[in-house]
Amino acid sequence: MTRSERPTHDRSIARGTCPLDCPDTCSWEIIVENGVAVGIRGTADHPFTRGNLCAKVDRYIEHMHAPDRLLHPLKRVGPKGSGAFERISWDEAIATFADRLATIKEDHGGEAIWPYAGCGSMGFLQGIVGVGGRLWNALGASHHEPTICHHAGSHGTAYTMGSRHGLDPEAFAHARLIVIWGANPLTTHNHVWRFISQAREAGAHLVVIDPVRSRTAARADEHISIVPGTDAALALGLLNVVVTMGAEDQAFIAENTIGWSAYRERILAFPPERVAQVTGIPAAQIRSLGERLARTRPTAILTRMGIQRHAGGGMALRTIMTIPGVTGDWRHLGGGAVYSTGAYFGGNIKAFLRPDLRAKPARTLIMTRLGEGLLDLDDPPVKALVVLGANPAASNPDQGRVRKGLARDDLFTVVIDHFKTDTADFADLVLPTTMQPEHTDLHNAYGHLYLHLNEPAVRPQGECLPSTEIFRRLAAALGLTDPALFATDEELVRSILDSGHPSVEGITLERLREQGWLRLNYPRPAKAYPFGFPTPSGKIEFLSERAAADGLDPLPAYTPPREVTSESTAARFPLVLISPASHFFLNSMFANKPDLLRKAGPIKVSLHADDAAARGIANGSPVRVFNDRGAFVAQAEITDTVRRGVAVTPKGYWPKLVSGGTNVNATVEERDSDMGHGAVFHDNRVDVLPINPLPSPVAAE
Amino acid sequence: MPVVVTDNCRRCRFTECVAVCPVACFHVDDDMVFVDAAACIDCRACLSACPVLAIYDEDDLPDDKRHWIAINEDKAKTLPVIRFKIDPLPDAEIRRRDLGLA
Repeated sequence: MTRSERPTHDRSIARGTCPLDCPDTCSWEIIVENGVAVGIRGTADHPFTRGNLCAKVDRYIEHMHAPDRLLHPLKRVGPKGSGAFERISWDEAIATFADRLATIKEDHGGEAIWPYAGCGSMGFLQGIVGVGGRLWNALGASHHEPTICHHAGSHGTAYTMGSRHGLDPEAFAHARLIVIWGANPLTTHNHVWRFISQAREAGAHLVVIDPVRSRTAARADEHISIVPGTDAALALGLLNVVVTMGAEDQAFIAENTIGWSAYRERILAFPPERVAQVTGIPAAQIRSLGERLARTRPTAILTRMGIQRHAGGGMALRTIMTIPGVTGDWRHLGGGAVYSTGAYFGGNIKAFLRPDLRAKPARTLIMTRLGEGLLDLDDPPVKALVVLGANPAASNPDQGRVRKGLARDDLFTVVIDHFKTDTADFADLVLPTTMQPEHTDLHNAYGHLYLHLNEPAVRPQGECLPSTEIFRRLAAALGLTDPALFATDEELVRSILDSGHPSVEGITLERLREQGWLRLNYPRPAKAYPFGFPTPSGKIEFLSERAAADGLDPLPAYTPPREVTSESTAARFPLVLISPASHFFLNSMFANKPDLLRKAGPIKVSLHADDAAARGIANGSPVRVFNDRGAFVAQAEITDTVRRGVAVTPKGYWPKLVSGGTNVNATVEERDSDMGHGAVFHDNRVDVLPINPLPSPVAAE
Repeated sequence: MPVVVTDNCRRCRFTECVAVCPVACFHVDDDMVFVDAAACIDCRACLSACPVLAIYDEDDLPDDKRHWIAINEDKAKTLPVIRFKIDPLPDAEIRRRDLGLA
């Protein structure tokens, strides 16, 4: 909120929830004057939000009122990709939408429809969890597997731990050693910092493991710079030091784990000297952190999605998550590890999504294999793509192939969004949907243990409709009559809350309305894995028969990133390129907001001075970043924050708003990680060359 | 620099900004607070928390206050960090009235 929008007593305040793809799921207050939202601020009495938002969302109201916000339904009048549209009525839009879906279902079957939801909203009703879910089930559409984010790590974690009931981030206040592993919370999870600071004031030591000296790493006691994708080797090396010192918690291991003797053998095969060669970290530094880990209880490990976006990403999370099981940290307040807290909420997803509306099983399509899905599938081919809260033309791997797929003339594409994104330019219909202060939604968090209700603070802008209402109207136009397809937003919220799970016992819509949020039924901080370890054995499975049955190493291991470690690729493309979050964008959101785009500046690629010098690249000069898949234009930034051989560029830029018309994803391969079909954004090699004197055109693929 | 503390803070030092700052990026002397731009994450929660409108987004800083960027930078280097809200200075309410912000 800006200073001039300072609230006064004659304005009303409405509680809501930030819907964006971030662990913090903030509680916010919208300041409303004469029916118009004039300001936003973090809810001061929320135990996690505590009165502040972030660099992006503090500007959310301006974004809601932006002059380029979509306010009316549009239909395409030019070639796909041209962005030429004309305004139509909702009646015409819904009739066209229904007619085309009905015809496609008739001709090719329901599986020819791909409901493609992204992380634009994390809400149950309007966002990725369940938007349109009941209707897609009734139509027999393909299932959509949202693999762009956490899947590899979630699958890896589940083999060993059974679920993602990680350490409550509020427990970090009690830790004595904190390891932030491949995450940059000062940009992407800032509210956890207060708990980390509390621990540091009491003497805790903070280590950040990251290939980049990030904003967070710069404020740590120690930064360990690692070769991207080699985290599992480091985890095994640290455990090697622990085991060599005899510091493993034998009582905890005996009581709570299976497979220790086999895992111990694996750990002993990773002495610091070997791990140093793999990770690029000096052996002395590995030994020093290993010794600190061995002697410090409780140790808390914070890890997020960045370290699992490579060929061994699932195994990386699986291996890191075993550390507290060896040190016994799970038994100490403030000890353990967290990847996500998503599993603490026991909502009734079945009652909400109603899989029973589906007449027969359907195939599953992988979100991050959209190029293949649109260009190669024929069983049946995808004939309808309905994109909700996603901009795959910006955010997906292999941008060239994705755009080629989106350009197919026989593909019927509907984009439901707030702005005319790169993807919307390829749509047949663009439908304007409400933003968070204009609709109802329920939000679980993946970075804390509170449940949030968001209700409208203001009326929708223009003709925007909640996505739930768009799907109710679509169901009617399709002639469907099952009452489940016409449930009100309130009924949908109640269906989720009515689960009988102890985490939501006594949590009702009415109680949520009182303050906008409630803590799930766990103590503060919660005991990690409060219901035990939901593996087949009920114990932490160092040795996993399920992993073996799935064709994976039954033990935690180091699975190398594929392209990072490929010598033949390295010979042609010497630089490993990773693409973490920008401080000013959230995924691709806000990259069209002029002030945030100005703060972020043009696409930069950060290079070590030696790598820049070898290529004759001057600081601030334009460069072309490329490999066999594609290229993008960037401004070189010579810095000592990155390792030699590693280049870093922020994700999120909209191709149509940048010089050259492509972003980093033009260079990223469309390929699965080892588990859960996760994407491999950080398993990428490129070269970088100067552009002299002016940028030359960059091919779209 | 994302945010800048300016002269209105002098002789007030309400430190509501400190209460709301998630990263403890304020530094303090006997008269007012200053922000460490390197530590600030630009969440801007302090802008609306300040009772005397002393804090600006650098983008919105009036020309006659631009010298405060350098003052904040210099002062943050040497002064101690303030992590918790403290009592305002004794004349803070008088000063607030004088500023027309009571």
